[in-house]
Amino acid sequence: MPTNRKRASQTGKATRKKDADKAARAVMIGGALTVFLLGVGGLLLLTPSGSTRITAEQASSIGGPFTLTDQNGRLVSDQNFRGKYELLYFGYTFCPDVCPSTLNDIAGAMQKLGTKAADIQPVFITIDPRRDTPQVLKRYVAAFDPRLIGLTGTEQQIARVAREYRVYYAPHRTGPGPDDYTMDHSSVIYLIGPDGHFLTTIPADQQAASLAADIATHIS
Amino acid sequence: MRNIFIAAALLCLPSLAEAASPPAIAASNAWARASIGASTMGAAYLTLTDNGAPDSLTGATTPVAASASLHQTTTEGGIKRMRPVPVLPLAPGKSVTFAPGGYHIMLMGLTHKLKAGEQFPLTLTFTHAPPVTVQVQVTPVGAPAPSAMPDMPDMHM
Repeated sequence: MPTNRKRASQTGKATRKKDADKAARAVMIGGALTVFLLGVGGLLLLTPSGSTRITAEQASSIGGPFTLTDQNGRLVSDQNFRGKYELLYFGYTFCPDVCPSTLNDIAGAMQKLGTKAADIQPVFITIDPRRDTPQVLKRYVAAFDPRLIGLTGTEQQIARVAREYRVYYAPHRTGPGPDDYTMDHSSVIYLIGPDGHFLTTIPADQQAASLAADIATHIS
Repeated sequence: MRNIFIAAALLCLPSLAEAASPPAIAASNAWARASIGASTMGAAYLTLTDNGAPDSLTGATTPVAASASLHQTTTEGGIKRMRPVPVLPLAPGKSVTFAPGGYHIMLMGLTHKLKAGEQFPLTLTFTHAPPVTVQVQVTPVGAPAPSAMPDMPDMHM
């Protein structure tokens, strides 16, 4: 895998786009080829240094204003986070596998960042507002880190903020019951500057220590 | 003297029984995160080692959930998807480690909130080998994946 990664990182944007299309086709074929191309496809968004892959033009179009409800039932807007770096992660509390791992690593990174963490606000935005009420979020975020803020909203509010951050999400049915579904979703950490402008994406698939190191390179 | 022969014969019995039994699959290092908040879903992780002939994992059951099934999280273009995997092939002499972001036994409709420090039984069924029941250790939410760490690299693509 490391060789493939390196090769992928050296290719141009057009080639990456082609790789992504190829990846999409290969996934349907399955097998070992899929494993390889998934790695390449994932790198389009999940790059170790983030900023190297995102052009200034793209960066200026990521993010935007939002008004959501926090885990205490209070209305919160993007303005509330000015003056701090924001670590944004989109997920859902019924997520048994990926989200708790990522939030654990974010919480671990906050600890490892020590005094620097005082300038960082970790925020978890649900893409499953149907189940994730403020009450549900409250117990959830508290399990990871007391500094973590959980945000929910109406379907429309969540759709808007997800669109602003280019977050993909869709339910996947697992049974006939109303709660029998999981959510497919983008798993990327967004770093927003104290001025509210998007800085970079940070790969979510890293453990606390490397996540902390990655975050530290982007904050002053 | 006769007693010695009887004792020797008895000692031989377990190995004879072993030799006659179908291929063995070992399940080890089973763990699951404690339930958080309202979620009725959970995930169990473990390592499966095939000590016998080619086989495959075909299903799972546990008294703590309405259903338990093999799932795999895949990543494509930064998007995570969890999908059922009907059958997981197991190769002789090889181990498969389930870990966050990869294979897991998805527990749906938890009838019991998983609490840190508890254990619960998980029974795995195979195409050829007899079912294996393993005790799953429930770890605190904030704890790192205990058993999965040494084998994590192949899970991080």
